[in-house]
Amino acid sequence: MKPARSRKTAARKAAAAGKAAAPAATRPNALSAKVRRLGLAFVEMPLWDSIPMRVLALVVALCLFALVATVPLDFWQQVGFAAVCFALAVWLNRLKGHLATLVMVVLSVIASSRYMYWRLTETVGLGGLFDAVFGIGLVLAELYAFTVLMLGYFQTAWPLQRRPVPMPADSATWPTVDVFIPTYNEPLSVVKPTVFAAMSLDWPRDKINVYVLDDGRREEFRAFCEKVGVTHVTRSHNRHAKAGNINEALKDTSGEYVAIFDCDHIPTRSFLQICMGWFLKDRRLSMLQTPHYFFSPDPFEKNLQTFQEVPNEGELFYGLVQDGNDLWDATFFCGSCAIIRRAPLLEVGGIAVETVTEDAHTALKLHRKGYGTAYLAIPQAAGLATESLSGHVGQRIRWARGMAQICRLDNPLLGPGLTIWQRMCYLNAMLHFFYGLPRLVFLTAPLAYLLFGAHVIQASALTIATFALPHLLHANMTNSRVQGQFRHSFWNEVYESVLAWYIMRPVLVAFFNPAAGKFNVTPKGGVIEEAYFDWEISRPYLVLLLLNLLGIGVGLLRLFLWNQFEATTVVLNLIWTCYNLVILGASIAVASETRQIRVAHRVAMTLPATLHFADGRTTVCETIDFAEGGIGMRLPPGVTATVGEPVQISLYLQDDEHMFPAKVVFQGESHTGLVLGEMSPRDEMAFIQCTFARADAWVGSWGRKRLDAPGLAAGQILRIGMLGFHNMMFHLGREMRRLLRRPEPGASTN
Amino acid sequence: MSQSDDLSKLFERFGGKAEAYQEIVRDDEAAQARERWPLLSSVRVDRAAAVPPVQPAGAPAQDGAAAAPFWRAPAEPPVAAVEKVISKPPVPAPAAAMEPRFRTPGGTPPPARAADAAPAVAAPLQPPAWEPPPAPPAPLLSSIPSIPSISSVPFAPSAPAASPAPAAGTELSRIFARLEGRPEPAPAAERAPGRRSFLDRLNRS
Amino acid sequence: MKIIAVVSAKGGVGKTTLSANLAEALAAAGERVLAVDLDPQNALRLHFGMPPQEVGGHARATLAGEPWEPSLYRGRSSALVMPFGALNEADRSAFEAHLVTHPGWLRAQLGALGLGHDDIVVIDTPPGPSPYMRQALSCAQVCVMVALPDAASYAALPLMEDLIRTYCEGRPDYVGHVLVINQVDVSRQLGKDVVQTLRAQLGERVLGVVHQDQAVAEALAYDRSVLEYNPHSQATHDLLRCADRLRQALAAHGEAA
Repeated sequence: MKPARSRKTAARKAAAAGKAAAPAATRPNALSAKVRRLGLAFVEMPLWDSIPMRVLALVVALCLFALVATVPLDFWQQVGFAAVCFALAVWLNRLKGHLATLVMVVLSVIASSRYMYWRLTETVGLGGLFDAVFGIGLVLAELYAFTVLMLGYFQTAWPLQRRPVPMPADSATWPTVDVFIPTYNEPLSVVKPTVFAAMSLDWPRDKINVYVLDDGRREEFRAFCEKVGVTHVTRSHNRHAKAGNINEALKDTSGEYVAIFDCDHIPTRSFLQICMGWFLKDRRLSMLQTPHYFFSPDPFEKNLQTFQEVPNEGELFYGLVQDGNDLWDATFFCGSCAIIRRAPLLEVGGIAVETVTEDAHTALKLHRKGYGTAYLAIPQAAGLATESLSGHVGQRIRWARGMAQICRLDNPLLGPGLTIWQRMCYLNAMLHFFYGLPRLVFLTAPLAYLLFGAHVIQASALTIATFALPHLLHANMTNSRVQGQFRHSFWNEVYESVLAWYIMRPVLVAFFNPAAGKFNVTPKGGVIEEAYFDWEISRPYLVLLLLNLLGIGVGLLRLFLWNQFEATTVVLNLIWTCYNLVILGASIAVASETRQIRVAHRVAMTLPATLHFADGRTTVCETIDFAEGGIGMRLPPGVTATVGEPVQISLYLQDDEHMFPAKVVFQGESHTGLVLGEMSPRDEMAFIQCTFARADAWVGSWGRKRLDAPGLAAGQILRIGMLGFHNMMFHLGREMRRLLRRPEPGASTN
Repeated sequence: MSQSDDLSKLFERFGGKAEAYQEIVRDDEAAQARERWPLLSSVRVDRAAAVPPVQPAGAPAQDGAAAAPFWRAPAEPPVAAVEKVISKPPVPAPAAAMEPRFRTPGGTPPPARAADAAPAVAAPLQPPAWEPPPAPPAPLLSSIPSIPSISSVPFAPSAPAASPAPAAGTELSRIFARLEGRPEPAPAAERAPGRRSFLDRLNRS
Repeated sequence: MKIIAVVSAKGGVGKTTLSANLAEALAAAGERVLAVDLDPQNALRLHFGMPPQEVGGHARATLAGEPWEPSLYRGRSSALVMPFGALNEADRSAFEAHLVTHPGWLRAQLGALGLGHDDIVVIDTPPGPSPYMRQALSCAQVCVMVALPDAASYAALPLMEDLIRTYCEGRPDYVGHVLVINQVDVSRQLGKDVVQTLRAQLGERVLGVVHQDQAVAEALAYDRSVLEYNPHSQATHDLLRCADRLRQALAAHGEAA
């Protein structure tokens, strides 16, 4: 009974998608293959060609769904039902393929719907004031989480996974492209590689122009641009920041397409040939977006040392969410690493200036005009991640504020021009940023009982468990399957917790008053002098931590002294509080910034190379990593270099070899450090071509981190939580010692 | 399989054919490398120097297949003629490819001039030396599946008409050109502007 | 057997060293290799450790009407060498006249050695057109042209192509010819440009480049092959790659035939 219904609902979704995407089966697995064949046979039945049949199936499916979600079951029936569903999901998880994923999604939706329905209908009581206030607050938060979960499934269950379209053979038919590199106050050393890489784009030379849009109007930039032969564009004012900058530049340029790169986003040489094909194929396409790949760790990865092991926060968005949006033609512009067709852009008045997320808003305007957008989940440009946690938080606040402004000023749910699916995708994007308040509620919910004795859920603990556990377990398992490549289990909690307090206020303010708040630029490329603990940023977590610790204390008292009759309730709340403590510990760990020894960021890249010594010897070797002005190498066993000796290093691109002068500055056991000598612009460009602008520079590690394993992830978060506590205690101790030493005369400085 | 192939990995993972990719920047750099040295640009190594048989003194000149007069465009660039330029220093990138910027065909003077210059230069008979040879000697690997063989057509400049425009000229190369009946390289100013101006700029800096 | 002729129109390109190193590289890869020296300079054998004062070689054997086998030399390496042999001027003229009147001499002699079907013969030739080169080209399956990355080598390549076209094309067992660019140093603009131009014009017909490396010269002075002397040098890797591509080409041709 259940499998048949599940397949029907899957078929409904598949039919509604209207696109025969190939199932994402990987390793051949006899059972998976059989299931897939069955599913395909079912979906391809001629029965589904008639609309009335599809509508009928939809109605029947919805009715069945409503039945399953709402039918009241007694305790043991619920346990049995939940167990069967869960067992089915576990078995399905072992199959590969899309059909299995969709069925798991359906099961998760059922489990969560049952939970929500029961929660809303049976557990919301309006007893005492405390109970009511806390109770309703928690229910609203859970409702939010449920909505986001459902929308998330909708958005990510079927990523489009577009492939590049090759360009026509005759390059005389290729269109003209203007490459814009807006910059404001970033140092030239950050912008240079981007400029060189843009000059190295493989596109007919008479059909490409590179423009550096310098809002800082700096002489250094002007001189550099003139020297290398790109156009330096300035304007007399700085209104509307980057959006205004681009709009001004649009007036003086004429390429049919505009490719936009943030000044630190280095494109690969194949960027245009990979991306432009879609524009020629689809005349209604107005914008194509590619991922923002970061070659340096973001504050989470840096402070928790998970770089290249755990997918970072942005990877879910660029790896999966945008790909899912693409299915519904709802990809939005992210401000960089994208190409926009000029005519539609001008039609919507250029880049939008009414909100601080001008990129998403521009995409919305394009959608309203009926244009399409596309996403290629292929990393063809890479840049620096945000440096410090405060920078990271600032950037997210800007996005949140912008989304709230869009919600108020140009609500995607209303207004013309969008399909229902696009509206839902935008809704999900906007809803995402409202996680601040619900997250704070979840971090404090058990305290309502532990500290105040309020009963926020009018049900026995065991009953709650029978509904809530399936909901959580299914959600966890299904999300792990759907997202595991781009987001590990439980990390969501950490990311949201770190940002929750800071996101909350700007979002609410912007929602109620879109005009308030100004654009704040994200700083990039700075130096952190010494290891320090960002007390200011951590303050909210510390408060929450204290509250939760207090809750544990009181809870234990309740358990052993006061509320022994409600032992299970106390225990459940204590468990929840412990979970919150771990998450808060991990958040605090993020706030403990590590010392950054080098100014330049090391980018790991392994390339074959040749080292030429001054005495005429050469040796094969390979690179380990690159930094501005330096290379880390691995020499063959037994070969060493002398520190201080001048050498030449050869790098290769296809069959071409390029040689660069260098000096050995470090020779360790397995690692040799070189510093590059003075290079002409020609050589600098060749260097970029051999390294960052390689077509496959970021392909190796994209989506290839360790696959999600919920058990491992949980252990990892636990360890990080402990680390957070440890760091906090350490820094606390240091601060106190500093405070204590200060009054003494002649004290040594720390 | 080259030492450091970045395209195959990309296309393997994400679909697409490396053969369809046009190596525009690398081809441009190779063309520039070639034009920097008059010897390299006037001798093609991918085909044999077809040396005409010697005519005994006094015998009537045979038909065109035999030795062409020295001053007419020969079937092959006379090797001797170009040996003299071996010792010449490389032709400096022409001073007035000083087109400081690319211009899009949208209509600023340089493209117009390029449009003028290109037909004017392309129209005169291009020395056969610039054309792909009719039947190159059997390449080693064309019939061998294991090593990918790109077409044996030797390097053909990527931009259509403009490239055979002789390297913008020094005095000496113009003289040689005149002697051989080839179109004289225009004084630097008419060099198709915009083309490879990035690299020109960089080379000069 | 598979015959590889290493040729160049111009002298001083490092042909002999390259022949020896290629033979070594092929042998290191597991092939059975015979290196034959057709250059009166008689230098190939020195790369394999043969004592310089010995005079034996195929030229002497041919003139004396004797078989080749006794003149074979096996040094440290697994490759066999057939030296040219020391000849005085009169003998050398007689030998060259013999080669001119017997165009199939080399083919016959190699055939008489009883080599296996998969054995590889690497023939070193003197630069420029000569009776020796003509003999080598007449029976080679693969011609490896050698050039330096300079203008003189570049200009001389058409002549080499002409010779190859004359003597090799049309033969059913001829596979093709490739180019190895020797002593490459791209820190010099001319060298870099010549390499780039050659690759652009010849494409896949460039078998590979061998980097300029002091280790190559030092190896000879140490009586070693560069593969043993400095296995990590770039020149060694280049040679190994060239040898590998050659083997692949020969193997593929062998299957196709």
